[in-house]
Amino acid sequence: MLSRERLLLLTRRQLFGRAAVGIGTAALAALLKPELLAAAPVGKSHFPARAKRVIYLFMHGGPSQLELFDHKPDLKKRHGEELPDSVRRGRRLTTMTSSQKAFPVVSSFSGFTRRGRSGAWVSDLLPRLGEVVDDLCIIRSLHTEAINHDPAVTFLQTGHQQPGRPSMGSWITYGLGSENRDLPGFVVLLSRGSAARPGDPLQARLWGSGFLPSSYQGVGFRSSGDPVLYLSNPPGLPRAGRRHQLDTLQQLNRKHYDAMLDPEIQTRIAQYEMAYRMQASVPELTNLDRESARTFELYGPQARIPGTFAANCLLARRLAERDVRFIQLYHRGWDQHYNLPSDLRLQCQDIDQPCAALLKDLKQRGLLDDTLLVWGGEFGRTTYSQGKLEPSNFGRDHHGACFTMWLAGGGIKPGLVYGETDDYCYNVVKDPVHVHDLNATLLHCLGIDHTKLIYRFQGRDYRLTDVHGEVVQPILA
Amino acid sequence: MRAGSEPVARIRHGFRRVTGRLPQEDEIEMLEKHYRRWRDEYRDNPAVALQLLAVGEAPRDPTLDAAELAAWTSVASVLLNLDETISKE
Repeated sequence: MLSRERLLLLTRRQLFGRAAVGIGTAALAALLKPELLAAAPVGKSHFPARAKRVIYLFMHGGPSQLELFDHKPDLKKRHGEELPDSVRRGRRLTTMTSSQKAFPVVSSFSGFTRRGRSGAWVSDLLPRLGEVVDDLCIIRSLHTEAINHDPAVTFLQTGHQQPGRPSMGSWITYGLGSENRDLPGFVVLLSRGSAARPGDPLQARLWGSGFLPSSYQGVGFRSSGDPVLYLSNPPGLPRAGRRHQLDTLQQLNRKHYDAMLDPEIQTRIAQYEMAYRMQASVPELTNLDRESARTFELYGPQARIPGTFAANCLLARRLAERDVRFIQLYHRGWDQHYNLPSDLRLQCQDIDQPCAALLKDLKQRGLLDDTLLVWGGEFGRTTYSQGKLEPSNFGRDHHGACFTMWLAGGGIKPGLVYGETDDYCYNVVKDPVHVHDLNATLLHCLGIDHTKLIYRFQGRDYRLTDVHGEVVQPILA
Repeated sequence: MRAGSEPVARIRHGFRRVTGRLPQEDEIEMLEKHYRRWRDEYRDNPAVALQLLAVGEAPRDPTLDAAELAAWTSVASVLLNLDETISKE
């Protein structure tokens, strides 16, 4: 029975959750019906969704928009000149360059070519991606408030610069629920870029569920060896035996829940059950034996090496086929403070073919129509050189005032270039898209009104977009 | 297993060690049922019990009955994975 103190601690949500679950014998049956659990996903969209799932290709570190998508041929003429104050406008700089004596403009070291029927300019560092440019919506006018990695990544992923709020993947699986009961609704795949440095921070809280029940947190797969550890039962414990063990455990945990009513106990019960089902579903997911030679040709030779970006892109397609709601990839190593020409080339080699392959593959399987593909990092890079500008070497510092991302698939207008930056690629001059606008738009494609996906915590209503965000209508299909 | 010769004594001992409280009657019942099921299985299949006991770095105590030890290993696994063991409410 509930103690008096425990009853006083009950939150409204827990009380209603308990009412829905019922007590006694009904409780055990409810275990198998996750929709009956307290704080169960909202489970329905606000209006018809164009996309059912997301594959988010997060380029961690801040890729240079100047070298990749935002073509500024006139900068060649200004190469080496001081960045005018009228352009810089006193914008906050990071402490890595704020004490520099000079801010010499650097034009892009990479060439650009008009690609596809849309004729969008794409870097020659991304030749394969150029092949699919007619499927992309390139947004050149993203801007963010943060200028350092951790706050910027946290902002893009959670809508707030300080840690603690739910990640976008958690919001979306909370809002829409999961369509595959044998795999987590939110899966995270990590890869190390060829130019990544050991110090690049990437913390698991970025895919945390914040104040949402922890069953909505992202499940990170390991990037080397087995993607999930201890999937096999030990010798001497047959699968039927594992089931019996979990049944006893569940009975005891359920009893504990009835006394405590903490939804986190339900989460633990649900996670044990998920782990049991993953013992069967993950080996099936990661077994690539039945992938054709053509598929490996498409994604490139690295697709056979677990933990590479290419292998993760192929895995992302397999997760999408299995209706996993939110598939988050992180590729590290885009932080080119120095040695930008050589390091950026390496990073582009990592991702160019796999990105294009993923898009083509989703398309040929009919999955692109209802999968939202997102590519981008937490900010862009400065027009001026960090450190000395040398004939064949330079760096670029973090730049939040403008950067480029691309979207493709469910609900997004293909073959579009949206937004404009000034001649120096330093400020947005047309159609600005703030991080909150981007997130509002992504939710919109999934059928979610970003102003209505709300969770009350500690007496305050929270949203992914806080009190901001406008859906970017012109980029919708 | 050395905490008592009767299953209930062992359950009370193990439960208290991991949760800090004594188990209630129905909890003892669930765990005892669990123990009996596994004891029977490992008695019928001694080779399977030995397989389980070979897992891990600590060598098994050969003076203890293998089927019994394997069954109590299963009980211990349940106890160690209780929500109450892992987090304090």
